Amino acid sequence: MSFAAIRPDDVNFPLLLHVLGAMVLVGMLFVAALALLVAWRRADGSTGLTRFGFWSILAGVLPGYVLMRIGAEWTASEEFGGSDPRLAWLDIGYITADVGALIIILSIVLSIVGLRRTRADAPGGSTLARIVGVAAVLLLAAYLVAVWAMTSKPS
Amino acid sequence: MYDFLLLVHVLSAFALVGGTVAFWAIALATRPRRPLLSAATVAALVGPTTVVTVAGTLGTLVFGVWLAIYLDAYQLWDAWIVASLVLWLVGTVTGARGGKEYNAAGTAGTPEEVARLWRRGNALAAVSTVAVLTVLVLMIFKPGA
Repeated sequence: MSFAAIRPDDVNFPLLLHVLGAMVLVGMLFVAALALLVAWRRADGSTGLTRFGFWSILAGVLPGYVLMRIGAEWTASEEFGGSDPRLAWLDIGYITADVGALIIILSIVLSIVGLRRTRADAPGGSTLARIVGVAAVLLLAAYLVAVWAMTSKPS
Repeated sequence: MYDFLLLVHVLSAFALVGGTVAFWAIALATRPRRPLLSAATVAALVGPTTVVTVAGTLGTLVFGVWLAIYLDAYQLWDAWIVASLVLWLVGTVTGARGGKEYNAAGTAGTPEEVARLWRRGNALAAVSTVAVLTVLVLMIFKPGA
């Protein structure tokens, strides 16, 4: 027996955007990591998988992140106004989002370079794919911690 | 207990919607006119994505029902929960049927047959996705709660 947390109605729509963006982000990171790591294990390099992994980062991860981040700011402004509530779970969310943004930007740059190299059959594309694949796995782990913080709300 | 149930329920929802998003990416990469992925490489992606999506599908149901029973604020017969359960069933059935159409497209003979099965798979997957996203909306807005 317990009571559910109640939140103001104004928070619902921005929260929906935040959660939907986070789910798109996680789904695209998952499929990108999967494609790039499977390509890593295959002896033939699997150019199609590598290109798919790079495209997933470019076309899916960035829009998901932007939606998640805009939803997060909007939700926080509706729930806390302009004040800083100094909550640990909120800080964990901001840290994972901001550090994640740096890794995502790096992954996007490497994906663009990697796509050009695979298109031109130039060397180095598979190394970039491995770096982006590992980065995607690290991001997934960080966002797992963020989901725990957002739901459990440690003080 | 509430924190644990909510965490596992939300993680399951991430697995379900994230898996659905991943399947759409795979479907787009296998479009018959300009496939980015071959049938052999698709199989390596579909297996793990199916495991994640099925885990999310079952987890959202089991832990969602558990939460509704555990919390005093909600009852299983609340309209938004009943609607969510019906939509969950619609999403699961159409998603599974869509998967079968995609599989059949992978082994079909003529290009016309491949394109027809792929389009049918997309239509079923679209119905499944709309149902799942509507459940997400209901979970956040909780109309009538």
